[in-house]
Amino acid sequence: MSMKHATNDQILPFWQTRYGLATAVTVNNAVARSLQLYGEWAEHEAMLLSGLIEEGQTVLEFGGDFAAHALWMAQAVGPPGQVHVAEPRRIHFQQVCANVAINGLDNVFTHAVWLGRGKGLSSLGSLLPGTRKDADEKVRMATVDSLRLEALHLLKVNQPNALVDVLAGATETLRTHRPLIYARLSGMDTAEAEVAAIKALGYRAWSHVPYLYNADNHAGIDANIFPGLVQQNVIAAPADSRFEFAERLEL
Amino acid sequence: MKGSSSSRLRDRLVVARIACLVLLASVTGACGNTRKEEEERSRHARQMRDVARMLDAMEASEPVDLATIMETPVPIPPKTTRRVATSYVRSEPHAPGGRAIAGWPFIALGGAGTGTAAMLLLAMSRRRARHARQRIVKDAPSLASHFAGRPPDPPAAQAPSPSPAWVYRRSAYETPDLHVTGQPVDLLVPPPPDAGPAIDAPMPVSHGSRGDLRERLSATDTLATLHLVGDERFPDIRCSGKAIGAEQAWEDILVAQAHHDDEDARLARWLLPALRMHRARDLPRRDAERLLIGIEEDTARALDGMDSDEQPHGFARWIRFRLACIERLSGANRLFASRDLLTRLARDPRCDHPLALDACIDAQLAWASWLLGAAAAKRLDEAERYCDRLAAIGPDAATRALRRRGETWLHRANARKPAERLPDLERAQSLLDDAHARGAEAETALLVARTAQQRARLLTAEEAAAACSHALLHAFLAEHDPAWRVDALACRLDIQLTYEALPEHATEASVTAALGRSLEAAGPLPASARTAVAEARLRGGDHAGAAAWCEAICRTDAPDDRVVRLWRDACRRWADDRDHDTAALAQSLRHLAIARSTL
Repeated sequence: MSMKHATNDQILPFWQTRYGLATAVTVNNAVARSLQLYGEWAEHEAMLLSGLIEEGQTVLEFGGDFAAHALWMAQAVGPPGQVHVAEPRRIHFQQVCANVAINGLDNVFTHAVWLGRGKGLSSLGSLLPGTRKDADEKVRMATVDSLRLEALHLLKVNQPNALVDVLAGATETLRTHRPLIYARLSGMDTAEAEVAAIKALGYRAWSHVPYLYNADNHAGIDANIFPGLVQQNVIAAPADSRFEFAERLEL
Repeated sequence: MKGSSSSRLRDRLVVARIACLVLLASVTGACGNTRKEEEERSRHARQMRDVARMLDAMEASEPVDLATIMETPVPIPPKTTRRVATSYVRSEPHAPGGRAIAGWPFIALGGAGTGTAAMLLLAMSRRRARHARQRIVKDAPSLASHFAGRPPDPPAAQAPSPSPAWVYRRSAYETPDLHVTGQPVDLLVPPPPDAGPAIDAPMPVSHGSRGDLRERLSATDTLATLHLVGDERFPDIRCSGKAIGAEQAWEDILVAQAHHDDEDARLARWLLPALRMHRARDLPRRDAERLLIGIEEDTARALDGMDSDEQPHGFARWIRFRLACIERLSGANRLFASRDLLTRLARDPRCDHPLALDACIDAQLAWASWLLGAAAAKRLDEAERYCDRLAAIGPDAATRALRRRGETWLHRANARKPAERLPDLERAQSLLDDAHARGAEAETALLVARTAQQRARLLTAEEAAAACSHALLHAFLAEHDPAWRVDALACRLDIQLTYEALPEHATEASVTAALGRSLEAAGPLPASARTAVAEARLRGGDHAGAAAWCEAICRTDAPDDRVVRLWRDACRRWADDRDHDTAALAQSLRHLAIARSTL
């Protein structure tokens, strides 16, 4: 099988990443560039979450990120576990499916939906402020509750501007399964409301601010294409659980 | 020369000014209240103003500054002549009284004398003040030189500046010098390995050196950082600090000895892989990975050639080598490798030997330390199952199992919220006390001390004091073993800090400081010991030093909650220090924020 190379990506279609093969049609976003250059994406998230996920568990991820995290989470939960990935954008969804397929991950389930507080159709531009006109498309809406998951141990929300609605549409699932929640905050304007929405569900929340660049990256590349850039993330656990992130800033 | 003639000129001018002012004051003081006299006074005032202007014009060649000009009394055009005179001649603060004494010549003469003396004092004080201001101007930092077309002359040869130039004075409102804080992004990467200690290490012993191998190794490590521990025939290497130079010296000796065909050669061949494993910890990740995998594979291959006596030791060591490789992995790969190793061990019949079971417990405890919550608890349950198997083998193994079980309960306690740790710590204490009573080893004594010290932080004051005593006793016991001396010292320091924090217990700064100094003198320290030193410095009032220690720990080791909290406290108190280095504090705070956010 031929591999994509950072300097010759027109010829070689695949990248050998830390957790398996990956590919992307275009490299016009940070996730694809990171996968291509470093062979990994947001590895600091994986470092934290790999200490939480166990074999046989179920994970739901909203925002496919080219299956960058689904690749390792599928191995972490193993054959008895499940990883559900929701990705509403058509091309991105297809790329998630492609990466899952070429790695033979039969415990990953993909959903072409935008997880929110209701069902129906909506335009991406109305859900994601700042979407370019040529990138706008109709997306199908669904709620987490409508997925009717038999178990859920981790809810991972990568998609910006979605967390509050995701939680609103997951009331029953969260009440039943009490999963951990890991989410990327959307920005200064919405962060307070997002954290408040998590805490309103009876969760404790801690800050996780990982750098996008990992000095120990899989490809051993020293060049930092994300200089000084960090993600503003939150990790939350039910207040009555045994989780205690003492060293982190509680929000 | 120029300077001295200028000085003489200034002196003459001052004398002339004094004479004029004395004359004016005398005349003014003797004036009557007639209209004619008022006209006369007005005329004198004008004359004096003209004289003053003349003097000022003559002095214009002298260097003056803006402040001098501003402070010089400027003659104001009078509304009345009397006001002119009183406003200028400062030595007559009660000028209206001049009218009352007019017509009394003697008194006027006396007033003139007083005025003379006052004028003299005024002139002298003005002259001194001007000189002082000139000195300030010369000494103060000035931007003028930056605008000069050529480098300024040395001070001795420098001519008086013709103009005051701009003088930069610092203000409380100026922007701090944060723009000079080095790299824009500092990921707190560890500094490159320090090659310094190599010069402290003696030259390696030559191939044909006489004497016991153990003695030669011991003599080489002047800082006593490397120790042979455990089984007499198959010892392990324990490193009680960062011993870069000593490791190199040891490797030279072992390589030279390994070619022989005697017991020392066998020991050298046994020790070499373990030593290289230790050395790999200081290498960059990729180099270390290559080296570790190579050593692990060599060890696995060598197992087939080992006799029945050696193989259990070899197999247990292979497990620990594999664990060291896994430890270097990142994120999820570490999870997968740990899972793979333990799955293999669960099926391996060689794991029935006590040595292998002990290594399996190490693997479970290590894996648990990389997990959180329920996942960690599950690993600790597995570790206890191995303890059960170990305890069933025999009395010696049972003692060992007791200690290992105590360790699992220590891990359980540390995985809980601080307020919920005490029951687990009590259980660990009981198990470890029992293990130490059955077999007094330094390592067990240290575990007893550490557990008691942790309990002391959660108990009531009276119970905590008793726990501190228990901890201190066992720390002293552990300190007798050179391999555990540094760790025991660090433990003693922690106990002291805990004890001092108890209510109604006096702070013994001298004891804390002495322990801190002993630790610092013990050579390169492990992270736990360095944390204790940082706390001792913080308690001792060296806030900047404590912050520096914490930052160094975060750069070279994985920072934990305690280090970050110490660092934050150190910065807070550092900010309250008088005359603290603002830029250094800002830099430290910035690095603290990075360390905390990237934990």
